[in-house]
Amino acid sequence: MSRMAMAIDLAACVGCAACSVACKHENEVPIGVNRLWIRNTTIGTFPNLVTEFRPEQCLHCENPPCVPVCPTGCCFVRADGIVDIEPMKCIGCSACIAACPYDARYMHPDGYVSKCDFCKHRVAKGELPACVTTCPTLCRSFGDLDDPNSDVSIALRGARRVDLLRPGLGTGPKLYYLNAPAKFGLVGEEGQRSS
Amino acid sequence: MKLGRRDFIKLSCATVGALAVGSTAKAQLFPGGFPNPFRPPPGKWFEGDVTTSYSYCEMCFWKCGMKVSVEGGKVRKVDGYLENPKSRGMLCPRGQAAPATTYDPDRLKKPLIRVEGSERGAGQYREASWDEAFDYIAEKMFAIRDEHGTESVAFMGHGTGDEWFASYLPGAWGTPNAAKPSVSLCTAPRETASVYTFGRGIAGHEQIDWDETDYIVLIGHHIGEDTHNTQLQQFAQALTRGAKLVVVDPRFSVAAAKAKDWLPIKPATDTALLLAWINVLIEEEIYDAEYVEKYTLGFEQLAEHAAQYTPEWAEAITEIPADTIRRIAREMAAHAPRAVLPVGRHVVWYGHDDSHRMRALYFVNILLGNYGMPGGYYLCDAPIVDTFPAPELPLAPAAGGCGGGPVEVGDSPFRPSVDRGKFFGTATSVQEFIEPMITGEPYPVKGLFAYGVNIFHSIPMVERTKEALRHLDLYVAIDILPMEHVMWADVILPECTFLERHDDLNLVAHKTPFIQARFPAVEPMYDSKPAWWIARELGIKLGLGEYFPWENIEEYLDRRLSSIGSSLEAMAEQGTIVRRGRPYIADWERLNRNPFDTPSGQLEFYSERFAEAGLDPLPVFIDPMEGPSGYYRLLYGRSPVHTFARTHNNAVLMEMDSENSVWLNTREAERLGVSHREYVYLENQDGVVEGPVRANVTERIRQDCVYITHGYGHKAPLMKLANGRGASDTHLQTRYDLDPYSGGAGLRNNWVRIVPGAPDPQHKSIAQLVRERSQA
Amino acid sequence: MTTAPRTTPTETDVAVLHLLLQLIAGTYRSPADALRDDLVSGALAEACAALAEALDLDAPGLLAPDWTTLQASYIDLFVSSGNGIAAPPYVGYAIDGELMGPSAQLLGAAFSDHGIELQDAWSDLPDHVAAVAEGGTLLAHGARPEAALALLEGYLAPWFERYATAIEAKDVSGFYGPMTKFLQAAIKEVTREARS
Repeated sequence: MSRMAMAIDLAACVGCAACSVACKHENEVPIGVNRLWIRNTTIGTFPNLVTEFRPEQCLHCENPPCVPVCPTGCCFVRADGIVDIEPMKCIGCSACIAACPYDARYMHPDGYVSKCDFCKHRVAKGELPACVTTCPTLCRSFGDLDDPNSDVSIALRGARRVDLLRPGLGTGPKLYYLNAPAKFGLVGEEGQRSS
Repeated sequence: MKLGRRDFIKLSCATVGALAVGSTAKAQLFPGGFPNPFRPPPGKWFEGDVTTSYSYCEMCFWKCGMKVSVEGGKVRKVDGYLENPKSRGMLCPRGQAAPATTYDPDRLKKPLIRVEGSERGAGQYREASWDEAFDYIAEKMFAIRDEHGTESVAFMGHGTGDEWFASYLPGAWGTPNAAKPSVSLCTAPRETASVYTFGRGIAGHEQIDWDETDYIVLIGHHIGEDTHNTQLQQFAQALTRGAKLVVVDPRFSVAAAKAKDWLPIKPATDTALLLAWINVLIEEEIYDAEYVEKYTLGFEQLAEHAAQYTPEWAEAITEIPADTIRRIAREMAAHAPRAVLPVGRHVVWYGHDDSHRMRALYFVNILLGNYGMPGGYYLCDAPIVDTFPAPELPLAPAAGGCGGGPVEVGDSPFRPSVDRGKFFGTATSVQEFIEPMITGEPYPVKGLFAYGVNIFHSIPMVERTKEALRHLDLYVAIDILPMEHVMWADVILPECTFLERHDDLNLVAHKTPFIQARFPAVEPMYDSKPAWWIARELGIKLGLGEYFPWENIEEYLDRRLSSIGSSLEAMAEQGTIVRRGRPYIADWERLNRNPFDTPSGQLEFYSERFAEAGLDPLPVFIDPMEGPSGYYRLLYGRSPVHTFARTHNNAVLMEMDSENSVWLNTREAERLGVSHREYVYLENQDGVVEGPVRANVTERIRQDCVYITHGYGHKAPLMKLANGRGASDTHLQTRYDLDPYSGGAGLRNNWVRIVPGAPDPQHKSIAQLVRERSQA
Repeated sequence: MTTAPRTTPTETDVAVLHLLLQLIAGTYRSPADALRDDLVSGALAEACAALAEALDLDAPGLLAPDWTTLQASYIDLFVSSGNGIAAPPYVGYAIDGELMGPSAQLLGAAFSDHGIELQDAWSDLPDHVAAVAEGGTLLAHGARPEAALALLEGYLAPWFERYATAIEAKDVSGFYGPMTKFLQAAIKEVTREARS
């Protein structure tokens, strides 16, 4: 067993969207939908401001709300913790799209649901997801949470602060935000533990 | 159905020549018919047979080494690679989106000649063969030469292929009027200031020793919005490592969001701040006295000169508190020499002030003792690779790099360039070519080549440019997209994209100098051709064949590479050759060499050469130009996903950032009754109107200026995604101020007022446009 | 949708199909000397008349267009023009919504499997309508008339409707509009007859 996870250092991210464009080509994501996007938010008043650049995508939850609602079993959690979709089994009912609290899923024009799969085809070859590889700010770390020497475990240990997206939902996201620029944590979210 | 008893009718026009019966008919996979193309078989590109080749990126001009993956005859993905010192395995969003430019259906496809008798700009064309197009151009060039001389043909170029069109071909033809917008509309002041201070130019990618620095002060330098890959990587790594950041900018930029101190300076007063820092460093004796003593000339004059520029004086001008100015100066000094004020790239801001500002910036760095020291500015030179043996050109290659070396006509029979004498420096100023097209002074410019330059989105005073084009006898555009200015040309030559071509070697001045090569990943689409081929074929038509003594680019590249013991074949396997650099002064001193190529051999605070020319030998602060009341100073910058005005028809990038917006301070918006996201017009001081453009009502900007990202507001119906989205800053730049030192055109002397109540243009989504475009 | 024809085409069917595909290829190729010659000599008009007769259609009333106007119209409609290109002539692109997409690649593979290869001298995309139609003529005139019909039915015909609409709305040459209208009717007739 392993638990594949990702951490994004918000102190480094500049919201340039290189990750999103790399994902688009790597995974042939159609124009009009995205597996990965950036949310830019500013708080405060001139000149005391905080701007957060926050990439968002599937969080590969440990308790994914999208999986139990699938009538065909095409949404599932892999042994390595990646939340995945089998497109051939998908009937396009959209139940999972509605169930995901993070809007991470979209309908592919060919009639099946799709989303970030941590570039499982790259992971299978021992490579990093395309977004991690290309990031010019090196803000992304990826790896197995159960391996203390993985990049993601090291990044989590070294962070001044770790936040999860809407932790109150109990979804158990495996996408961690490190070093949020605002003192209280993620902008627009209830604050969470600091480490 | 009846067709009499006739045999097959043969129609000669039906022989298109596209397909033919080959000799190798395979076993029939589709007996009885054709596969149904409406349900293509599933399959991911990465599950197929993927091949890779090396290139360097052309999506911007940082030129990162990249690896291109091809499957099924189509480019699928590009990536950086670790061995390349620029990409270091990573690419920015624009680089990642390169395939979407190659497969942009709006690309130029065939050589076109403007229909005889139609107006320039009316966009009426007929198809021509390359041969016919070259004949047409050559005939017109000969006519211009016979009536006005070879100098009356001007060349403008931007991009890797500009070596051929802004340097080599003009040099062979014999015109000094060859220029790049990347000089006088971008870097000219920093280069002139650098050459006259350090005796060296600034390397193309700004030689900051990010990996070693502990304290960074950015002045209007938009790292993060400006996604120059290596720079962004090293900047981010420096911050992660704990380096402190101060950002001076009228706008809370992306970089400012990462800073410990943001100094929201009044626009156009940066030089005052820099002079005050010089003042504090000297008055408080916290400058690096040992470095200054050893390596500089004119410190006494500088100290005497700077005494007047107190922080209190600067506070009144810049609106930054004197205490803050002092505190930052002390912090810089405390971290020196690992404290650095990086030089930016686009520095033509206010014209008259620009070279002073750049020199003052360099002087602060010198006082911190960081030039040629770890954590400051490193020293670098491009690797040397021999040129292909060819006869000496009649004129030295013209426009040069970002530094913009001069064309010295010397004893040759050629007249100097039309901008000579307008300013002190040696660059050739692209915007100064326009007026002579209209006035004929000092002599007429009757022919123009625009290679990869968007002359309506770079050169200010767009209406004047259009007027100038109407006066020409010949206007040739070489490009990959039907930009507005391209559809004004007499002859349009379609270039293939960089993924489809070889180009010359890229020799990079870097901490570790390196050589990188570009190989075509796929064949050119349509009837598009690479720049080297276009230049050579045209050269031959012009009777200049002796200057192009290679049969093809492979021969050319192989010969050049052989001079360093490599070959084209070897480069195809490795992509990049990395050399050792001499980044620090100590590396030069070990070899008993002096890196500073000034007349004194020292870093020069006081410039005798400026004094002799009647210019200020030391930087001064000049009061900024002021705009009319009720108007805001128009500032501009970059979107992280776009390059100049080049990438705004790339579907993937446009989806990421599909229109710009005008940043307007919240209090000003309240006063004007403008709400966030509302569409407004921008009207400049001369009545030029741009928009509709959305208002971005924000706390992130001062009240005396507004800001838009550059490159939007295309007026090019053939570019279906770019056309009519957002506002163009260039069109609002109807004034510029010429820097008397460098010839740069200061562009931030334009003012706009906000006109609320513009109609919502109801832009379609990029996805919808992409769908509609394929089903026109 | 199946693309296999219902019946084996007769010799006459094949001759008609071949003629139709020739006219499509000849009409949408870039206008050069061969087209001018066929216009001047009346060969094109004669071919249209023969096809019209075979299919019980009205032959197009072809204006004798000014050659420069025709060339400029071609660029306007199909290549690049100041006001936007009216009718992209790439069949696979229209189907896939992307250049060199799966349909275009499938087309190339299918031609290749029938022994028909793209020529080096061809400087446009392989799914340009003139190239596709030329490939069809080679199939029709060679041993694969059923494949030619499938190509027309499955690949060209469904797309041609919207292509024709765009051309007819924008043409100013007096050539492309009437020719397209005629070809559109002929395609409909041939595919209808093949099904009957």
